Amino acid sequence: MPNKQRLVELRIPSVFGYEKVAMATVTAVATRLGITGERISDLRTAVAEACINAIEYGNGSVADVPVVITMSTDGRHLLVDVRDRGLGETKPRMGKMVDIQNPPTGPHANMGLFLIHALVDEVDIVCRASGTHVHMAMRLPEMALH
Amino acid sequence: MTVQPQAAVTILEVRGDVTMDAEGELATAYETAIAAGAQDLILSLAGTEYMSSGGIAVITNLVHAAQASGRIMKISGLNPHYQKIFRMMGLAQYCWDPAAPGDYRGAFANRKEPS
Repeated sequence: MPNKQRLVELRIPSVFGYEKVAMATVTAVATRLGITGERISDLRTAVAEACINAIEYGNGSVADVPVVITMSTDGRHLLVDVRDRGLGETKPRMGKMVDIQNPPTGPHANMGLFLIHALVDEVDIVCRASGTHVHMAMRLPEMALH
Repeated sequence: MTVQPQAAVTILEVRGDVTMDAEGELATAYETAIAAGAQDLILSLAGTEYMSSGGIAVITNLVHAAQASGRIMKISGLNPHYQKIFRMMGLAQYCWDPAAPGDYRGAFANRKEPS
């Protein structure tokens, strides 16, 4: 396993809207690593959803409890790690496709995890009493590998 | 948010982010349109760059509310990324992209007229 190089660590307050700061940062880091186009859009959406879950479920929307987003690379992937403090729900459930006759009942209806799994190359979710860690990996394009 | 009655079609034109915070404003716009006699509706998201899963849930609820009241609401103007997400979530059948800008006639072609 190649060494993991930490690139950026970002802390955002648990307030809806700050996920867009994470989106902007991951866009800059992904672009720097050669990821382009729709792959960046996919990653942006996945990171936003992970942050929203962390803000709402993980940190209970307590503003001064931060969500920590770490971006690193192992040389083959951009790795994005979203961590909360586990103040709320620590066993996330994954949603599914939407049935229009039985539309979502919750604010997110667990659709966020569905999107995260669908949009990035690898996902690993670790739930502990101390918090939930969502690890996401996006393969770097071949020409960016060295 | 603006509401544009256009012949038989009412267009709800959204500008800005669609998250769960948009629920109240979207519901108000929908109810305003219904009170004004809207039947067929287009929810135009051409002015939206960011939509969260909460926003998609809000839109889904709106489409369902329209359907439950015998109306049809189609979603239009999604950028390619959100078109893909709507397909992934099984919502493609509720989307409509006009062949010509502003031409929504085909969106409701499959409407079943009351017998």
